[in-house]
Amino acid sequence: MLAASNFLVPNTTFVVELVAFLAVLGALAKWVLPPVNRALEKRQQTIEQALSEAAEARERARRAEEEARRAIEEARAEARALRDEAARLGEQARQELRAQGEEEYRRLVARASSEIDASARRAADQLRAQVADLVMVAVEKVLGEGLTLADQERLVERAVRELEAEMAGRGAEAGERAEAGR
Amino acid sequence: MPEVMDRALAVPPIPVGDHVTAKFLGLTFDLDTIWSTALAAAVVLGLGFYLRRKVSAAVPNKVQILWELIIGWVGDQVEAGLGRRYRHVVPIAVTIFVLVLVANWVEVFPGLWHNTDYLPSPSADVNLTYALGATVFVLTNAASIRARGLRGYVRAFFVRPRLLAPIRVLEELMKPVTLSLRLFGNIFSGGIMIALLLAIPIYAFPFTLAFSVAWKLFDLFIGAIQAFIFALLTILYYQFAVSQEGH
Repeated sequence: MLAASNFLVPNTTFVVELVAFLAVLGALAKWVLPPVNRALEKRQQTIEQALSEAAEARERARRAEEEARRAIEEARAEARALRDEAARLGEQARQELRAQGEEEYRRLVARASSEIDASARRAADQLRAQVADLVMVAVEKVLGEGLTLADQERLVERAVRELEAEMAGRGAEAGERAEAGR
Repeated sequence: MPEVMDRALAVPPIPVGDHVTAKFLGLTFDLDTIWSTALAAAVVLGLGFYLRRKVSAAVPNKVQILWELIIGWVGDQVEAGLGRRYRHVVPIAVTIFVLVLVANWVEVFPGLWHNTDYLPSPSADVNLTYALGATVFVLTNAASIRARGLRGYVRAFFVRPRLLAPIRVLEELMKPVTLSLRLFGNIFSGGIMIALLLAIPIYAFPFTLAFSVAWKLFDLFIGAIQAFIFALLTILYYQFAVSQEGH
């Protein structure tokens, strides 16, 4: 019999194989694949969630870092401004103090020189009075009495002028010394 | 060729396509194919139910990783070629791949001292491959009719050029045949190759055994490739069946 000896011709085993395949297909489709698919989807969700969370965290970290950098930058700028301000104020204070000092110095010098002038004038006045008296006494002693009033005055005038010239010379000298000491 | 040498190198008769058969109500059953199919199905279902019991969304075990690899690949193929509407194709292609793979690998030990294997690869029997091919044929054509309607299904064979209509019908009819016979031929010939290699007397060629082992390893690889091709073609035939351009 040709059909029986030809292995390319199927026999009733075909039905058994078909049933076996369909049974396995049914079992896998009903009981095995759904839970696997659920697990796969759940894992996919978990991974997606984890990834999105990670991205979010990264974004948050980035923002925080940026904020920190900005804060540092701000603080640095502020510090720089403060330093500049301090330097400015210091410079200003220095200038003011310097101006004050110079003012004070000028004032002191002016007062000292005016005092000097005053005391010199006072001394000159006193001296003039004394010298006049002395000259009078000396002249009277030498010449005896009889000196007219006009003579007296002329003599005194001359003596005082000489004295004043001498005093003026000494005063200029004192002024030069004061200049050098400054 | 001297007769002595001829006899020395004589090959023992290699059985080709023989099966342990039984008759029932006048019908022939290949018992060896049936029980090796049962074994393959048991392995697949065992792995499947083991997976079902241990399935985890967090840390999958090795069996689950294997299944997920297969399901993920098939799912990607189906989604890319057919879209989410045809998700029911996934279990079909997965079952075909896994069952064919295990069926191809059942025959690790060829029947060395018998005329027939006790545990032949069921895919070396046309009954299994025809059954699979017929299933794919019915399912894809049903999907085609559902997608375009009976009128559209018939019209798809008669698009211009009309002259090609018989070719198109023939092509559609040949699909399950080629699908079946490709798998059958590969696995069937693998077994014959082993038998042939082992039939070479060891004094004639000392590396017989090593060659057999090497071939067997290659045969396992072929088994995996053929399972892969069968599943891939199933998805592709679905794609052809429901695509709007026709055949």
